[in-house]
Amino acid sequence: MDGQIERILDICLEKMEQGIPVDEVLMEYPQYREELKELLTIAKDIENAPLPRLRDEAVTSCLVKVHDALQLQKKPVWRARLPRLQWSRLFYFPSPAWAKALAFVLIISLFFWGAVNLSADSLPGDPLYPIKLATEKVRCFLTIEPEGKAKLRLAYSEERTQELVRYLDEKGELNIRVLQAMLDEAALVMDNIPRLPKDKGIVYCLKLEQLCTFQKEVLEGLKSMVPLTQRQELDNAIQICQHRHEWMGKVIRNEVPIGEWGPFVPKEI
Amino acid sequence: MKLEKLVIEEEVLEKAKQLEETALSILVKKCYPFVFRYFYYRSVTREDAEDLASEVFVRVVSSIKGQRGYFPAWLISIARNLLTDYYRKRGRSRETSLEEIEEPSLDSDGNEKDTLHPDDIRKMLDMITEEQKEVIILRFIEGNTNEEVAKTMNKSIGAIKALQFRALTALREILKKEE
Repeated sequence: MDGQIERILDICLEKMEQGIPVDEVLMEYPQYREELKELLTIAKDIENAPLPRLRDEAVTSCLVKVHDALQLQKKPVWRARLPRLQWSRLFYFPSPAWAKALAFVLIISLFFWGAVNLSADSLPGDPLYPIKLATEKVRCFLTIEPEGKAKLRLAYSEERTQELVRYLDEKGELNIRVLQAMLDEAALVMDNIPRLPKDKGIVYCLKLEQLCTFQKEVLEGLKSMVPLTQRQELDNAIQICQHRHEWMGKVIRNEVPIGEWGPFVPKEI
Repeated sequence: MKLEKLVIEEEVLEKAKQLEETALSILVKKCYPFVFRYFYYRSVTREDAEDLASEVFVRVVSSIKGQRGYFPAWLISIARNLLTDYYRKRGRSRETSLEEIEEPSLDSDGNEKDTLHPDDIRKMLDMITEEQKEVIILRFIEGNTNEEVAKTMNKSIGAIKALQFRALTALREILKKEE
């Protein structure tokens, strides 16, 4: 029964919406007249009640807020979510531009620092090996003192020697380019020795002599592991190291002036 | 008072979804009164009703791109969520200040009309359930059909008919008690 009265109420409401008076509508349903009349009157009273006043300023204020929200929406997301003030708060910088620049520099530095560290143990053929070589070149370029340059060249030549051994261990062949680089780096030490004070020049001559001896011994140790096809290059390199060792001995004994290059003149193996 | 129904042209809605400011302004001008009244009759002070209505449109801007389905239903769902937050923050009690009491409507002779006052309706609605309140607002104040109310409230037409019967019966009981 309840479902029926709800349906009849709805029919009556629809008829009232068409402009039919309440009493006329209810004539069709005399059995519900008592109950429905009050309900229909309440519905009609609510429909006919005046609406609350709407202030023009409220609509204008809403339009302004929507405009602002729209501007914010059109900005890139990261700008909208990270207001400029937060950057300066984060770094305690008076200007957000400085904070951003500092953050940028920090990120880039961190990236390079990571790449340089990871490349330290790389070998020829590794993706990071060019970074290692580039870093060495930059360090050498930034070093002004001849002593510093000589020290770096000695270290790089020694580093190439180690790379040569590791490469042979891993790949089973001699890397001729690294071998050549090892000899060239040692030769470049000679480029800086004449520019040093005499006492320091002698010290670096001693170091270079030791390096050549060390390289000769290492290369001789590799002989049994190197494929026959590369044996010739290895023998040539051993011979160069031997000549350099002997030459440096003469320099130390003052038999040859410090500026003379002798076997240190760069040449292909 | 018979209201003009809330009808949004498809073209305006599509442009608003692309965040065109003119279309959004049209949308605000058309829908603001509807949203304001929704809050006004839901035990909210006039100032808060205006603020909440504005907030609804700010949220519309941020999420209209993904709007699907019947637009008034979507709008009401935003308003309903805001209202829930509002009730939670403020508590359900409502105090009507002197400034916000509507002036009585007068006829041409300057006499008070024999009609229900918006504030009387608001007080009566305050005593019925939230769903009943929503049916009364959408059906009799906004003048929607049962189908439209059903779509807006996401209910069947039968459920809406039952709700409107129960709401009107509840209001009759309240009026009887007052007499």
